[in-house]
Amino acid sequence: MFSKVGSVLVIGGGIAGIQASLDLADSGYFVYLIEKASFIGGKTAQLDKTYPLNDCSFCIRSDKHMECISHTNIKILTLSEVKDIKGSSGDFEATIIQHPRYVDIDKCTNCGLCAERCPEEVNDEFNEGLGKRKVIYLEFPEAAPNSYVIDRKNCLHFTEAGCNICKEACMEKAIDFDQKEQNISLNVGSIIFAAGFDSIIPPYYDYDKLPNVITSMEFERIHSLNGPYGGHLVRPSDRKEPSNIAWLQCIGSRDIYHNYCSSVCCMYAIKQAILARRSNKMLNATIFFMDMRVCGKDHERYYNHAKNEDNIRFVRSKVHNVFPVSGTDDLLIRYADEQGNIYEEIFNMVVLSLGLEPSHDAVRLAGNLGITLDKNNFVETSSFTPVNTSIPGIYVCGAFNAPKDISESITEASAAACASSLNAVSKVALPEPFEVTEQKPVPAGLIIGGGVTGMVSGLCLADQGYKVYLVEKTNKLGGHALKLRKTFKGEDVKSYIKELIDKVENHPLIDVCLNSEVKHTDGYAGNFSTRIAISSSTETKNIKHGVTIISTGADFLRTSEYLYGKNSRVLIWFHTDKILSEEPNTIEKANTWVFILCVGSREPERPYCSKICCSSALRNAMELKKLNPDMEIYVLYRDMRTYGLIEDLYTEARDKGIVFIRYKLDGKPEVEEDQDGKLMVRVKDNLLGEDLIIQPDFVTLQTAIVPGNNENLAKLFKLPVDQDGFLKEAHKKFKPVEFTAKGIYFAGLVHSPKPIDEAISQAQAAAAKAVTVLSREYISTNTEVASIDLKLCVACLTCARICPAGALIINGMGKPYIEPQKCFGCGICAVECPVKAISLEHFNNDLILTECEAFL
Amino acid sequence: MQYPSNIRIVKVPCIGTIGAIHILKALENGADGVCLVGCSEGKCEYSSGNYRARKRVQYVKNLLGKLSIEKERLEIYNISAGEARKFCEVAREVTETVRSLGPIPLKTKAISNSKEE
Amino acid sequence: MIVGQQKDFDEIKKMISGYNRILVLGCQTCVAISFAGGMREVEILASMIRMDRKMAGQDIEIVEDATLRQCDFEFLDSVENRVDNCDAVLSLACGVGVQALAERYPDKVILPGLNTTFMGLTEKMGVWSERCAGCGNCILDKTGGLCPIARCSKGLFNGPCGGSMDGKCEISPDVDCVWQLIIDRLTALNQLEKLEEIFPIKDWDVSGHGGTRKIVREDLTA
Repeated sequence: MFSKVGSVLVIGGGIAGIQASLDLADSGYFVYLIEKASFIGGKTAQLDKTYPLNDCSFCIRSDKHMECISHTNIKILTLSEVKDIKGSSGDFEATIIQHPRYVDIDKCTNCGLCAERCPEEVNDEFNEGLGKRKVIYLEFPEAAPNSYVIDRKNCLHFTEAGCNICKEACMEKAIDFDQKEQNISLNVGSIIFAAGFDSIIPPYYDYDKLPNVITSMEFERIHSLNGPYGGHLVRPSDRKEPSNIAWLQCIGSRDIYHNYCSSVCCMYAIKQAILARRSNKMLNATIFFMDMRVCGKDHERYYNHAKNEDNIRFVRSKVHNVFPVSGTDDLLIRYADEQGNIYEEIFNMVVLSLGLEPSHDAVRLAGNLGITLDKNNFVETSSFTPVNTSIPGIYVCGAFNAPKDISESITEASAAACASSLNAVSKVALPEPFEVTEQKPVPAGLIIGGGVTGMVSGLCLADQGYKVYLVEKTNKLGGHALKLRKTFKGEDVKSYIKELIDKVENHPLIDVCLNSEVKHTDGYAGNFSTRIAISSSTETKNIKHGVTIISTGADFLRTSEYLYGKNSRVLIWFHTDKILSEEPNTIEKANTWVFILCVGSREPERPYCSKICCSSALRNAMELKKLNPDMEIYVLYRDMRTYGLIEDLYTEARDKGIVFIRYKLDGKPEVEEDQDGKLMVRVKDNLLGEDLIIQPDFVTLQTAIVPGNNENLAKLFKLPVDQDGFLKEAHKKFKPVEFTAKGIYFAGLVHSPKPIDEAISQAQAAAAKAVTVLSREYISTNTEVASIDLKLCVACLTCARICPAGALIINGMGKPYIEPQKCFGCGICAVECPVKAISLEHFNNDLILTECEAFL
Repeated sequence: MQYPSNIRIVKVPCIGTIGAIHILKALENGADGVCLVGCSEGKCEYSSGNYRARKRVQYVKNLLGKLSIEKERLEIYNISAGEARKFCEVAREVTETVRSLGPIPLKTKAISNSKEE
Repeated sequence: MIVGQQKDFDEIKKMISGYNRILVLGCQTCVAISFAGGMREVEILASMIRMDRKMAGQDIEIVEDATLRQCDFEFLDSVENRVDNCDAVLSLACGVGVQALAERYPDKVILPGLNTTFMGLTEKMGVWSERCAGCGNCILDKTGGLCPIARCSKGLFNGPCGGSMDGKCEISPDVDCVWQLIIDRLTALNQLEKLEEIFPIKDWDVSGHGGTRKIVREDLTA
């Protein structure tokens, strides 16, 4: 029963695992999704709302869950663990243990009678132990699969022989104590680790003794409508509304045990503070932090808003102790500011912003399999193959790869789906698509932009057998990455790009169009038609393609600050790369080098973080130091944003004696030159409170990444542009590489500034999405669309009059036609049709009727 | 948090897909009451499904009146997918209303009438 | 099209009392479009009847069906078995359909489930209004395309009565005075002088006052 050679095993049913499964299943692969818990959704399911939209996104999340549950190409095994994996790429043998649920999913109606009668109560893990649940329980009302489960180790039936109360209470006879643990053997072609993270309660801050010191996840549960306090923001000790709350950052991150940044805590702490202030307008919210690392798309804006509009107080300080205030349940925090002045403050509640550790179970399993892990136990991957583990055929995505947020996990999940599908797995049939047209999708992709992102997307598609048209504006492939030397991990970018260009140019299915631009485009998912103009000639070229991927990248700021353009020793980041590659003598002779960060970024006119500048400066500083150990290097920064695993580079740089000086936006460094052109940098040292004067040989400016000419692109493809000028995705959190329009995707820096590894995983993700369109036998819409039985239709126009999508048009023959690209699949026309001529393929009227009739 | 065990849930993509016939069939086949639950007012994914459903409920209430079946057996609520707690409250409320009305006359009358014969 | 409206349920109840096997037969053309007699309404009515009978402790067997067009004999053949097997047919067609059915099945009790109300159009979803009275002698050329026979409450032929107030008819502020509309439209068309013509006395013979109407086209008959 459980054997489908060439299918994919996805380990972990969190948001990443779900996304990877969906993308694979939608591209025609069979997926086994293994989840330890009784429900899918993982940690994301526990979250109240998500940043930066502050919405619950519940509808989108639960859509994904339901899609996963009902997908004919996905077999979900909950309460399951992977015991062992043998074999090699293309032919793995996985042994799964599935623990019994003791409740028949198909029979359980979620009535809850069993739980009501169940005599035994235990701590509710889903609510982080803040509430109680019965031993037979539903984790949360919207859990998928939506069925109760029995917690064997606490169940009186097992512990004290023979309690049958729940079984007797169940009217549907869904409870079965005889279910046994099952050993399941699966033969799969490739494996994706989407195992996620664990958060470890730190052994400090007296978390276990002080009830009002809570973890960030506890805060999520407290604030959740379906949480233990019904969404009422109260503290655990006395259930009173706190009037001031402190968030302590970097708990379990950036310490001696975790030499990495957990990437997500700054943003979620801000989110929690905003939500807390919305629940209680009088609340004082304070966030104690070291560096504010809000580098993602729209994150800086979110931070600014929190600071300026939501009146959240940000204190730059690492808090080391929390003390109880005797006679109250309050907490005292003692902290030092940057100048070393000590303050004491009392808070009603303290939230510990816990970091992310790689899932402990997965670390054990990966270790047994021989997958190379880094020193923090995250899976070691290359920047150029960001989802490949050290074992061919085994891939990784999400927080098990490196700490990352939901949208990045989703991107990586799609990337892993793309990479794993290249791994010689056999295809299965897709669920019968609804044949609105009998048209097959054009098996070709148009990729606009021949940088690394575009080339990676192109290769992904071409390697899966689709024709690719790669349109590049300039006369060569490679884009801005040609200027780069090394990744933050130290990998050689130049040889990677050379190899990449080589592969692209020699791929029989890739048609590279240099000096070309898109002039016009038309059509819909599966069938686009685009006109390309070649700048050197008057000729245009028409291309038919099924999907479009936009990867036009971004540009860099040509600043006029800091004497740039006036003094030849004031450089932009890539000049440093060039000197490092070509001018060892210059480096040898240089005594002092200054890097200035945030040039043009995080300023009122450009309120976003360019994300790559910190790591690029540090990488180059380290390289300079290596070539000339005596060189004095100063890095002038505002917040050191070495998020995720880049933190290591920061630690290393400090160890090597590189000097870091923080400056503020209102106290920018000044760069001057004397008559001989010698440079002088003046910066206020916040620690000493004094001006520091440096006389460097060179100053490198880490200038902002700015959007390219996206307005034009947006007009051409009818796409939205965000406030910063980058293209805007369908949903910031859950649909990072998609637009609302189907069949068109985007990746790389045209989305937002990002380093090469993230651009590559986006490129793969966009390709994965593209394949879900191209692999269809017939062009169909993603939603189910209504269909009309024209034999019954009397052309009464009711459907055309009421269709909320405007998808119903009456053709010249007086018969209605449903435009599949517009139809939502809501079914309103079906229910109103007076002659019952309309039905929804997967959800027809009769089906509902049957359900409505099944009462007696 | 739970809803009464005597509730049966029929899942639909949009509450707008529920027509008069579905409500009637449920009652005809043994349900003592029917409660439609749709998205919040103005927040229909499909733009107007919940609004249409509300009007349709009024229509069916009139039909029930003609059958001398209590109109209170049919209700519609707007609850978003995230408001499980509200859903449970509504479910309890609806169950209470229906319970206080007793079994649908369809069952009781049928029994008493057949006894009379 | 013909617009119908379902009869009050009590009336239908009385009509069908005593019959225990009923065919509820809709018509999928005009009355379907006016949401009175299509398959959708057949199902709803059938369900109501069943519930009503159940409450009365009486058995009833209902067959639900609809013909494509009940006013054509050919379309009535397909339900022959069903008609044969019931005590009575409750037709949700217009009066034409009901009669066609009665004619086609002379031995069967045929009952009308709806009132044939008028010839009209769908103003918008859920709203229908009368447009034509079928008078047999069209004068729309003279009245700007608006019919005073069908749409004037008094059927006046030579201008509005004294009850026309602010463009509304005196019977209800919701009803437009068609004469106001006629005048407005002719003004807009610059054809107001058309109203200066005295209409000759209308021949009402062709409107049914001269007996049941019938049309025969010799070229088409067999």
